[in-house]
Amino acid sequence: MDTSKLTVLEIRDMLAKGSVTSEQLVASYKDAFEKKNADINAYLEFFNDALDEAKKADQKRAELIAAGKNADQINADFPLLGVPLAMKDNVVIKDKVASAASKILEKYASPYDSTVTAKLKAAGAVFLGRVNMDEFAMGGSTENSAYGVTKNPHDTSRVSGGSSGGSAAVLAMGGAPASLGSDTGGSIRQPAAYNGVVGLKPTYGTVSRHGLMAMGSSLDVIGPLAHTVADIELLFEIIKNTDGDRYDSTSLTKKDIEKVAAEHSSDPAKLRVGIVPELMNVGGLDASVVEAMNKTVEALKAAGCEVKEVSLPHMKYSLAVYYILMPAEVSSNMARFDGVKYGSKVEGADLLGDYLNTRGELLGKEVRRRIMLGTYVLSSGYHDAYYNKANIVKDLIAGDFKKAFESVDVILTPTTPTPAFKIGSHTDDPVQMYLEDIFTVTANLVGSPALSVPAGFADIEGKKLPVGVQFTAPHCREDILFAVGKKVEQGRGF
Amino acid sequence: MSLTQSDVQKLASLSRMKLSDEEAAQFTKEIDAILGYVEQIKEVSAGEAAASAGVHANPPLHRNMMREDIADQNLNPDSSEVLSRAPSHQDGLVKVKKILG
Repeated sequence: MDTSKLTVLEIRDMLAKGSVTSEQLVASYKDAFEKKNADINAYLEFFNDALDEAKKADQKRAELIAAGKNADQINADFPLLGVPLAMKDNVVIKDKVASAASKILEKYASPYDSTVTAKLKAAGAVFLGRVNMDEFAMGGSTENSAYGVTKNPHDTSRVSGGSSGGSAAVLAMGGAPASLGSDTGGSIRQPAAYNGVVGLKPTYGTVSRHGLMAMGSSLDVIGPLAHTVADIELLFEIIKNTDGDRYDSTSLTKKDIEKVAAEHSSDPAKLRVGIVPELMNVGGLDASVVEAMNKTVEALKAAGCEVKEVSLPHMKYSLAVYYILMPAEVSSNMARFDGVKYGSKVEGADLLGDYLNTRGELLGKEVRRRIMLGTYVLSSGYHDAYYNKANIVKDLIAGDFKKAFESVDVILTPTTPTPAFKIGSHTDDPVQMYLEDIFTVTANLVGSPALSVPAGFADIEGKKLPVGVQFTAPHCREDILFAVGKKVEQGRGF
Repeated sequence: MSLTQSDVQKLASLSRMKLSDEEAAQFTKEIDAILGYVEQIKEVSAGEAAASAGVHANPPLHRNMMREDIADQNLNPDSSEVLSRAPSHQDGLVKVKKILG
C-alpha cells in the first residue's frame, strides 16, 4: 500500500470504511522509515510500540462498532482514532525520550504527557515516532541537531529547513501523514515551505505550551504540519485550548478566543487580502518566490478575493527585534539545564565545574551563542538600549498590523526569501542564516496566526524545489487562514 | 560596536559554560556581527516609539492564568518518577557536590 501521499481525512475515511486498519497504516509508514530514513534522517526514533498502539486503536474501533456507534459518532468522540502522527522531539510524551535534538537530553524520558500529547491521545492518535529538529528549536536548517541534519527529500543536497525540519521532511518522504512542530520565529512555516507541505503557527496562547521545551516563552507555540489545509484545520481544532490550561499561564480559554475573534469582522464571500509592496523589494528574493506570489494573487482574485496594498512600515525591524527578545528569553529558559535536576552531566572538580563542563560540552554552538547573546542584551548598561527598545519596536510593529487589519482580513507575504538552501552553505554566517526568517518572525512578535501553503516550484539544478506563501490573520482568526488557504489549494495548477 | 574576546569569556562565565579560546574567538566574531545587525532598532526615534503606547502585541484578553498553590498529583504522580531523571540522586534527594568547605 502506498501511504506516502495520504491525508489525515482520507485515512479517517478509509479506517471508517474498514478498507484499511491502523496496524496496516503504521506498518506501511514503518516500511517508509526503514527504506528512507537512513538517507533523509527525519526520524530520530520510530517508536517500537507504534504497531501495538495501532492494534489497540483497531480493537477500540471494533468495540465501538459492536456497541452500535456509527462512523460519525466515532469521529465525533475520537476524531483521530488510529491515525498515525509524528511528534517533534521537543514536545513530551510520557515515558518516551524527548531530547530536543540535544546531547544534554540524550537519554531523558518524560515523566508526563504534554497537554497537546494528552489531547491527541484522547482523540485516538497513534504516535509513530519523534522527529529531528535544530537543537532546542534554535535554527532554521536542522544543521544544529546533535544527531545530524535532516535532508530535504526533494533534493538531498539541501536542508529541510528548521527548526521543525524533521516534522516537514517526514511528510515529504512519505513517513507520516501529519506531524506536530513548534514555532518561535518561523520554525513550522519555513520547513513546511521548503518541503511543499502546509504548516500552521496558531495565535499565541491558543495552544498550550505545557510540555513543550521552552525557547522564547513570549513567542513559542505548537502547531500542525500536514499535506492539506483541511487536515491542518482538523488537527488545530483538536489541539487548541478549550478551557485554558492550568499548566500554561499564558493560555486563552475558549470564551477568550471567541471574544478576540469577534473583534475582527470579515465577509467570507469577499475576503480582503493585503499585499505589502515594500516587502517585495527585500534583497535576495528569489525569482521563483516572486512568481509564486504573483500566481497566488491571480488565483485569489479569480476566487473572488479583493487584493489591496497595505503598508507595514516597521516590519523591516522585525528580525532585529526578534534577535534581541528571543535570545534574552533563551538565556533565561536554558538556565534549567545544569546537569543537576535532569538530563546528562559532565563531571567537574566541584559544583561550579559540573555546571561549566555540562553546559560547555553538552550544549551545541548555536544554543551557546544565543545564551551569550541573551546574557549580553539583558546585562546592566545594555538592557535599555536592547531589550526595552526591542519591546517598544515590537509594539510599533503590532500597531502596523492592527492598522492594516482595519482594511484587510489577511496579509499575504512569501514564507521565505528563497527555496531550500544547500546543506552547509549558511553555517559560517549566522546573520545570513537568520535572514531566512525575515518574513516569518513577525507573526510571532505580534502573536498573530500564520499559515504557509505550497504555491509553486523552483527549477534549480534539475530538481523541483517547493516554494511557499504565507498568510497572516488577526488574533484568533485561524478560520480566515483556512478559508484563504483552501482557495490557494483549489486555484493552483498542481 | 566591538566586542572583545574577554567580553565573550565573561558572558560564558556568567552563563556557566566552559569555553575554549578558539571557540571564544569565533563567538566574538559572530556575536559582534549579530549585534551589528540588531543595532538598527536604534533608528526608531523616541517620538515614533511613543506612538506605540497602548498597542500590545499579544492577543487582547491575554493575561496570566493562575491556579491554586496546592500539590498536584496529576502533574507529578510520583516524586520518584521525577527524581529518577536526575543524573545523581540518593535517599530520595538530588545529589550535588558539596558547596561549603
